[in-house]
Amino acid sequence: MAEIRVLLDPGDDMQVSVGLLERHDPARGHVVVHPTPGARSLQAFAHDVLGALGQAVNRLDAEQLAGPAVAWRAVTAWMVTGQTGELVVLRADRLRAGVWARLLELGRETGTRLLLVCHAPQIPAQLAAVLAGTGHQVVTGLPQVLDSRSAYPHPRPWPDATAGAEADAEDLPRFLHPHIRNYRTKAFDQLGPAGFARTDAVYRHGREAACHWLSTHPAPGPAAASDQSVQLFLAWLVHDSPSRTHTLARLRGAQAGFRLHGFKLDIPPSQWILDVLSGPGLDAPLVTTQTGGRIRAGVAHPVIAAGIATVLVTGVEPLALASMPWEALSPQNDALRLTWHPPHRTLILASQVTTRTPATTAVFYVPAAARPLLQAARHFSRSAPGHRPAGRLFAATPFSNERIAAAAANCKILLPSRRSLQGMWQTRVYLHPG
Amino acid sequence: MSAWAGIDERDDHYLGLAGANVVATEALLVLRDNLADVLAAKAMMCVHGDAGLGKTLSVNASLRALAPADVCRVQFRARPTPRDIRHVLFDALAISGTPPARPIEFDALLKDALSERFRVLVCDEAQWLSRECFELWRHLWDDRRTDIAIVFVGGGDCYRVLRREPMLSSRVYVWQEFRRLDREQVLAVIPAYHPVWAAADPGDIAYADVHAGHGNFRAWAKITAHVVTALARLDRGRPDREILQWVFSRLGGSGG
Repeated sequence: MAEIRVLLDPGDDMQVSVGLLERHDPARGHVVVHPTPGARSLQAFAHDVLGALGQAVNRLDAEQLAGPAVAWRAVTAWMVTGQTGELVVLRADRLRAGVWARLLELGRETGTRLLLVCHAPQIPAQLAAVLAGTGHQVVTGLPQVLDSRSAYPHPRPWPDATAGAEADAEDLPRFLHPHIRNYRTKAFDQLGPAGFARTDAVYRHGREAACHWLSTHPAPGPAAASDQSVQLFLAWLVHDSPSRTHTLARLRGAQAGFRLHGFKLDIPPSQWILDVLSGPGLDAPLVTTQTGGRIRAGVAHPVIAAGIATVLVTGVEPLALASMPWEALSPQNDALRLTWHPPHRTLILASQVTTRTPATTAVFYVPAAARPLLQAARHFSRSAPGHRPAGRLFAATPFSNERIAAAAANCKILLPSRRSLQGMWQTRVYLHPG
Repeated sequence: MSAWAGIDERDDHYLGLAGANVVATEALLVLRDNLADVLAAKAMMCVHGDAGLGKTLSVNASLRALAPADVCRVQFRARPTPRDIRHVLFDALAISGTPPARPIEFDALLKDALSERFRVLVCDEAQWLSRECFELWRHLWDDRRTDIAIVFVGGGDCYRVLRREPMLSSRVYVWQEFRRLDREQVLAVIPAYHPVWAAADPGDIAYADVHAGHGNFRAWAKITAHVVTALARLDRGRPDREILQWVFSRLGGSGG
């Protein structure tokens, strides 16, 4: 049972409320709920907590989060994901006993400490009854609360923006040398000393990253062409690339790194990478901490928030993601594997389906800033009545192109143009034993 | 409800009395100093006192000088609910779109608007507010993002109503009571209040105050309006006992 404290503020002192509100810092796990006056229902309070957690509360109906059960599931998912260490509830003496009971349950579910602030000389009798057997403490005075709070370790803030982008973010000069042999010599000849220096720095970054990856991971097996771990590494390598030319140089560097370890890594032709293909490092927006914050500030539903993040990471339209199974997301929420079976014919009877064309699998690296959103969606979906572990990632959610687009618009986020998996560069990567 | 921006100085005066001046009474001067402090502290203030003593006029006149572009004035004639206040603020703040149905969405919208720049919210007839209504004002004011000062103005038992709410007792920075003008103040103030009294005999002014004015500006506004009418009809230059008797008869007060 997480700690429960009740702060008595008999004078309804402004310093108490303002002092606590000043410490409201959801990113550090310290959340202060300031209940909406005149709204005393269980669901209204759940919406208050969602708002305090930093979620948008202006589209609750559109996101189908109006009901109490679903709203509390969303609250729990965000609190678990955000590592909320302490939940402070102002004006708690004006809440109903049912709300207090649900709050205690929330504390048990999430392990969050509760501080219930009663702006009254004593805890109202019907609320005190709810606390029976919880071992709660009654404290008076703001200093007592603040002093004891400092004894708790602070949870870590939300992850920072993905590191790794070069300081040199301007486009590199176009260099279309078709393979890795004589790459640096040709680059020097064609680009001159200054252009070579810039391109070579990015190339060496890719080569060293590949060498490090190969030395710290199991060697790719004989079926290397389908080794999705290589795709994931390459997607990670370029996901924060500032331009297509940077991406090409990083991939060429990775090719060199693999070659040094006895592997032949095939990537799509240079011109395709620079002008035609799509995918990470080419035209996918980078999901930064700022992006994650905008999604949280514009959406309350964990699955819709995860949906926006997934569309940004993959560039695939929401409707195509709606059937994505749970296995597509790695347990650490750091990789997405999308598979597409292109049909032979436009119309086919189900009974005639005996074989399928080879599947196309594209692997995407999920930046740290997007992972909490996927983690919250995972928690939310698992808490659904009748949840099936083998079900769909975005099941039982208002998940359509239009709804995700509307939610993204509320976040002031422009979704990328829809792309097919077949047009993604990482599906055309092949690794051969040397 | 009325928004302050639509009120000019003449509207401040009871009956829109033409020619009336805002007189620098001691209460008004004190109020202006108090409001300056309240605005600087972005605090709450309560201006209370019986009806007709010039509270609203003084607040309007002072804020017109202190913060002409920042005032948002709301007024309720009956017992409002938090929902009423939300809608009134929505209109007074000229927020575009449709008012949200959910209180939490509504409050988020109001807080957004109230955090854009500093505003002084003037809530007139505050004695009509319930505890839930005061909770809403307090909620908006306590919010870290909002940038507001709140001035409650009320007659009757406004002081008692606000004082019994601990949430306001600890938050109201200045309480100011408006009282009736005493005779000495009447004799000093009324000649400056309106030109018809400028040359009046002090004895006649005292006579009018005893029988109808009672140190109350609203009563004096009525007396003055009738005196203006009488002087015009009788083509006289200044009021005398005969005119005052006629005025009293119209007011239903004692005619001596």
